[in-house]
Amino acid sequence: MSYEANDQWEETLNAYLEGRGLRADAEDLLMRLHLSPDDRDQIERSLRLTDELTLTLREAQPPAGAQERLVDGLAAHMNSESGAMDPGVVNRLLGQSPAPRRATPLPDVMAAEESPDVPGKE
Amino acid sequence: MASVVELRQWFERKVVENQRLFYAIAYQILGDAHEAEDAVQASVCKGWSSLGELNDPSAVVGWVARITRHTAIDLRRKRRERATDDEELAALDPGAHDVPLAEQADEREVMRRLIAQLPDNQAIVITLRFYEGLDGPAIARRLGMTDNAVRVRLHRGLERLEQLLRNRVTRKAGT
Repeated sequence: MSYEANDQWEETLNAYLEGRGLRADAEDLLMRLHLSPDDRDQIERSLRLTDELTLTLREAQPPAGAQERLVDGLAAHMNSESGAMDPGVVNRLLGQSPAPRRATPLPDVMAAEESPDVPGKE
Repeated sequence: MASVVELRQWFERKVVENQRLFYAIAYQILGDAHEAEDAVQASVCKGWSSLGELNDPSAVVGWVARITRHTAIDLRRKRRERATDDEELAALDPGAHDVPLAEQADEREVMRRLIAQLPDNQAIVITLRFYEGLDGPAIARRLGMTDNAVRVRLHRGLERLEQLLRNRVTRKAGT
């Protein structure tokens, strides 16, 4: 296969994976091009993976009324003593006095078995 | 002068607009609707109380999503600690590489366990892409990232999932 053909199938597949191209175009790759077994396998595996991902992720549908309960719970928390907000935070986040940029930490919810993501160290 | 009311409205709007994402993130880890809902509730409250630690308001969605993921992981760990039955323990442990996944395990549950092994930012980007159906630039806007950062996380996450699936097939073939 020529470099151009290889480049073309990767671009078409990536376009689908990134949501800027159609799945049908990625499927058509298997019909239109003379692919090496490895290339064909790569395309088939990618399509199968995205199918499984989509089916798995879309299984998670919030229960009826979840949004209302969430908003109510958040409002109750905001009105409680532990939900009191520092005016300095208000001004900084709404653009009155921006803070110098630094890495945004997570509050203390880090699970013991997990390590935090470090930018640039994936 | 900005007011607390404005900040509340801003944060509530972000929560409502992204509650499906937060729920999906929690469900991936917990696999239980009620626990996922509890995790999201706890996470948005933690997010509000910790807003002083957020430096870039445009990153608030990804930040709350990460809080949600870690809250869910903590809940799952506590659930595991409560479990006394060995079989239940094995079934709840997505990271147990030395314990073969039960043959009868549902394929989607297996995929959830694999997603749970991804780094936060890869799992969140993949969820926005394949759960919400967003494209790269839309994900970038949602998370306050560059398009390229989203692209890198998406492809690394997909590559990692493929590798985890291959490892699983190899493990199964070896047993």
